[in-house]
Amino acid sequence: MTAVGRKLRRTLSDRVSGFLKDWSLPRQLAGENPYAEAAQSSTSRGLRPRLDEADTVGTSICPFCAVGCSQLVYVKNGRPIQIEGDPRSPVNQGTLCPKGAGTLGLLTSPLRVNTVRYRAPHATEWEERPLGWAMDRIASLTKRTRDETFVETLPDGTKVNHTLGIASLGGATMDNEENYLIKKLLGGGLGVVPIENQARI
Amino acid sequence: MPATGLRQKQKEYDGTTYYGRAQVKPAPFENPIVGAYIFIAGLSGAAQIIATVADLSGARRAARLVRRGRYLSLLAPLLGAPLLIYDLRTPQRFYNMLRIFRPTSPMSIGTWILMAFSGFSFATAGLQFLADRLGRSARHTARVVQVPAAIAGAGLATYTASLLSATSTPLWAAAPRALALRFGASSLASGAAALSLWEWIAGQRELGDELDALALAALATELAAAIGAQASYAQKGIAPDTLSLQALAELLSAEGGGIGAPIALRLYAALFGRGGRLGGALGSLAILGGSLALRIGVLAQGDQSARRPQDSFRLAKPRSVARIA
Repeated sequence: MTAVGRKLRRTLSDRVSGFLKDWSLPRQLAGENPYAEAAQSSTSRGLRPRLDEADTVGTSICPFCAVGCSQLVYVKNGRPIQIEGDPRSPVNQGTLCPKGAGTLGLLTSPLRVNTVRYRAPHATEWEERPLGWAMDRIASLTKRTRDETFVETLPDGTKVNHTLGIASLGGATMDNEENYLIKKLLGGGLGVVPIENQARI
Repeated sequence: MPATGLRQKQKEYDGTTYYGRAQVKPAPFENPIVGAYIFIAGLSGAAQIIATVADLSGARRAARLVRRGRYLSLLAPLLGAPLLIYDLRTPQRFYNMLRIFRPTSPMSIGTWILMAFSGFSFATAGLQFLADRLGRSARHTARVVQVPAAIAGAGLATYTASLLSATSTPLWAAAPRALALRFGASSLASGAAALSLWEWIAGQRELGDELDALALAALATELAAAIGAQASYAQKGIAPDTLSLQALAELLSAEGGGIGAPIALRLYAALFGRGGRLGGALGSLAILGGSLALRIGVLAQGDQSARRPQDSFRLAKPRSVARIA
C-alpha cells in the first residue's frame, strides 16, 4: 500500500476536507451498515493487493521443510513481489505456515547476508571473504581433518576405513540428488559415519 | 450448592487469584477531569430540564428562571466538551468522534447525546437572547426547541453512569441502575442548587423555595440510591469489609457534605427560624461540592475495586453452576 501525495504538514483546510471526504454519518443516515460499508474510509477503499501489479505468476515448492507446500510466486520485472500458497495443491490447498509465508522475505529482504563472512580464531569482528577462498578453505580443512582422524582398522581387527572427526547435518529441503551426493561423497568417499537430516529444518 | 436468596449477603471471593495481582486494569483516564465533566454535564442537563418544565408551566414569575436555566445549560458544550477533548488520547483529532454513530458503543451514544444537547441548547439560548430583544415569535420557537434539549439533557445526566457500567471495573458494573439513579438525582439536585444560588446572588427570591424543595427531594432520592447501591455491592460480595481512608473521605465529602450538610442547614433554619436565606445559599454550595465529590469519589472507588482481584473474580463468577449428575 502506498500513500500517494501525502503531505507532511496538514493545514486546517486539509483536515476539514479530509474529514468531510471520509465522513460516514451521511452514508449511515442514507441506510448503509455502520459496521460495514458506511464505516469504510477512503484509505481502505483505495487499498489494493500487491498481486495487482504482477506481470506473471509461477509455481514453486516451499524451500523450508519436507512437507513441500506449493507456492505461487508473483513476479514483476523479473523480481518476486508476492508469494502465496497455491490453492490447487492437495498438500496445502492454498495455505502456508508462518515460515513459508515469509518466503518473500527470505528472497528479497535487505537484511539477508549474501556474502561470505569469516571470523579468524580469537578475532572479534567478521571479515568479508571471496566465495572461492571459502570453498578452498573448507575443502582443505575437511581433507586435513579426515586425514588426521582416519581409522583403518579397529583394535579388534575389524576393517572400518572411517573417520569419526566429521559429522554432517542436513535439512528437510534437500532433494534426492543432494542427498545422494552427500552419502556418496561424505560416506563412501571420505568415510564420514554420522550423516543426519532433520525433517523440519 | 443451594441458590442464594436475593437479599442474602454473599461471601467475599476467597478463591484463587494470580499471586494477588489485579485481574483488570483501572480506568486510564484522569479522575478529576472526567469527574468534572460528568458534574458539568449533569448540571447543564438538569438546568435545561428545570427551565423547560418551568417554561411549559406558563407561570409569569418563572421567566427569569427560564432564562437562567437556558444560559446555564450552555455550560456543557462550552466547558464540558473541552474537558472531554482534553481527556482524549489525541485531542487534535477529536473530530473523529463524530465520524459515525455506533449504536452499540456507549461512548458513541454519549458523544451524540452531547452533540444533540449542545445543538438544541445553543438554539434555545439563542432564541431566548433574541426573544429578550425582539419579541414573541422567538419565544414560541424556543418553547418548541427546548423539548428535545430537555430530553437530551436527561440523557446527559444519566448516560455517564451506563458508560461506566459498561466497563469491567467491578464497582461500576455491579449496580448499573443504582449508579444511574445516583448520578441522575445528583445532577437534578446540582441543577436546582445552581439556579437557586444564582437567584440568591442576584438578590431575588421568586422560585427559590421550590428549587430548594426540588433539590432536597433529589438528595433524598440520591441517598436512597446510595444505600441501595451499597446493599447491592454487599449482596454481590464485592464490598470491602474495611473502609479505606480514601473511601471514608469520599463518604464524608459526598454523602456528608453533599447530602447531610444541606439537610442539616435546612433543619437549623426550620428549627431556629433564622439564617434561612444564607443557610439556603450555603446549602446550595454544599450540594454542588458534594455532587462533584460524588463523581470523583465514585471514579476513585471504582479504580480501587479494579485493583482488588477478589472483587473482579467475584463479579465474574457465575451465580449458580449447573450440576452434572
